[in-house]
Amino acid sequence: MTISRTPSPAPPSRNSCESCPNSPASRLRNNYKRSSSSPAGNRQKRDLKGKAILEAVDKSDVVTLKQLAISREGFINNDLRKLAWPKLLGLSENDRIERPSDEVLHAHKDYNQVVLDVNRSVKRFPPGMEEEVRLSYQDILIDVIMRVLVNNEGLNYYQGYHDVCVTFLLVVGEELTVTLMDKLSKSHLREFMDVNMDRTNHMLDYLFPIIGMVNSELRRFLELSEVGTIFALSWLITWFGHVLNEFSSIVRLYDFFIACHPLMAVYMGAAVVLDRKNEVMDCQCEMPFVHSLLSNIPPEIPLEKLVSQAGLLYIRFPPETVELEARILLENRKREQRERDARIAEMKLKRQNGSRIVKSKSADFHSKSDKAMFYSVIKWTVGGVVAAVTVAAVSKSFGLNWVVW
Amino acid sequence: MDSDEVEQFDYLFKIVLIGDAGVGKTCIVQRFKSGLFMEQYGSTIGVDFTMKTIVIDDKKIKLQIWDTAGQERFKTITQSYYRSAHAVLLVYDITKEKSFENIEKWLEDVRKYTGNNVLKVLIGNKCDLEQARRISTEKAKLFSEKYNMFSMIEVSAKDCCNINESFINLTKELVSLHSDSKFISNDINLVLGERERQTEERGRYGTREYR
Ligand SMILES: Nc1nc2c(ncn2[C@@H]2O[C@H](COP(=O)(O)OP(=O)(O)OP(=O)(O)O)[C@@H](O)[C@H]2O)c(=O)[nH]1
Ligand SMILES: [Mg+2]
Repeated sequence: MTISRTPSPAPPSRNSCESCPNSPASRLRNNYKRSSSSPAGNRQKRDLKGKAILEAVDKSDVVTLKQLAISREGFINNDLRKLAWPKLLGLSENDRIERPSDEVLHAHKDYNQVVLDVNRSVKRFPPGMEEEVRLSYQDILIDVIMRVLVNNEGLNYYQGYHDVCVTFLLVVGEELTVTLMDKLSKSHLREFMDVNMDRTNHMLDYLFPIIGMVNSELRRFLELSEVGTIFALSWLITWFGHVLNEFSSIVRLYDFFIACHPLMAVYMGAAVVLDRKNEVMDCQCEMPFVHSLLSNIPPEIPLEKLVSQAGLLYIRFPPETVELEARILLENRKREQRERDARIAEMKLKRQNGSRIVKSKSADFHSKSDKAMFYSVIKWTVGGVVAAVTVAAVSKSFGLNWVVW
Repeated sequence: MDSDEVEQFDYLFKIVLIGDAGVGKTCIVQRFKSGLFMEQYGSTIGVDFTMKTIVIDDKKIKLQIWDTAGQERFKTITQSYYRSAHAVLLVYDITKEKSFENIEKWLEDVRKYTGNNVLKVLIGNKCDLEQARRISTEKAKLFSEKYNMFSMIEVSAKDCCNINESFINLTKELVSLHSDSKFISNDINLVLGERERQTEERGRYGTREYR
């Protein structure tokens, strides 16, 4: 069963806030001017794009699919998504993952947490859905999540993973969700599924530097408020599934994120914050206020505009150029943590009067895990072929196709 | 959400809720904030912030309430929110032994990441589920005394039992503890002088508050 809704076109951007004439926003404004969008015209464009999607699916043309996923309205509707998502991830119809027995699924260490989260996920189902139907979906959701986890020893469940799974389940159904999530869990979502959140946190270290490259005053404001980046955590690890109310907006973003670099959700976050910069700077420069302003995304965000801005940010400031600054932030956090640990250890030492061995051990541990982390982070930023293809796909979609379509 | 109104208040306290996933932290906060119980808030990812103003003895008191995620893996993130807390509510589920046992671990973090004089309150939630109870009131009481907590109280976010009371008692205690200093910073991490400098720079920005 598929729940299919047509996304409504995004409102044209009237009050873009970037003042610089070459900024992403102003370029975008021009694009909007050029593409007059009557409802009939849009329908026609959608039909044309739909044909292009089907054609690319038939040919398994991943590069074209990436462009289509990124450009306006992504894969347009859920019937097309059902066909295009697996292709985009390079899956074939034969990729099936066998279902282990109930005992195996239920014995998994994360089973209870999954049940707990799925039981609380009512909000993620269409409001009109009958309770019985919803309940059976929730059972399937638990099953789907457990199957992926059992199939991938070493992957850890996180709260929010269920938000991603439910999105796929409602569009592509049970079996395809398993294969899609299996693939994504090893690629785009891999960092989030580590034993701890160190790498996830480090991805968030990219947020302020990206914002700062466009608007240094805004970055300064955010840092001064000590708001941190936790307001963007759920954006990143659920691909906005946890915070957006419109299902059509969520799936449209999923088109975009599947087609792009794993850090694209952070670029999207930066675009969202930059878009609200006036509101933010009007806010009292204190953590609680900035945090609650930013963590609530207004229902009518200009989604298409933000998607294209995120893409432009990515082209102008690709991960390699942000990496150094993000690393400085990581080092700062590590230093603060070490200082705090040292203070705590000192306090303990005073209390207990002994054990110097413990201290040196923990210092050793730090440096080792640091190295491992850097290694894997470098791997996905330089990530060879995939990164290159994505850059190409993004550039094309934003540079040319955007204006035409 | 009136942003032009510059709110006056006598006290401002920061309260943090911690405890295992699913014990009902979000339900408790929402019950206190809006008087409603809904089963569909969803799991907390990261930290949620709520503000509530209450009046006690003609004093207007603003409570900044931080509702943290309970899943173990979020701990490293939520810990940074403990600092400068005036009070910590440690929540367990009276029907889940594990959630009570883990309070000891949560306390360890409180010791590490908050100031010395932080007020600790032990809260046993879901006391509407009497037939499924696994933790006796006496056991929890003894525990709270052993660890020098301000109080122990059993509540139900579902039946709205003791929710307001626990916040109000806690606030009264905070007021009496801090009655001579009105804007108390309980921040163990700040170097003297740094705060003044930062406050000055912050002052240049807007005054709108969001809740
Ligand atoms: N019977 C009963 N159920 C409750 C009560 N409070 C909460 N619950 C249930 O417990 C579940 C979890 O509550 P939450 O408030 O989401 O738990 P939490 O502590 O915020 O969990 P995390 O955000 O994951 O850390 C909810 O789905 C509620 O249905 C209560 O007082 N009585
Ligand atoms: Mg919660």
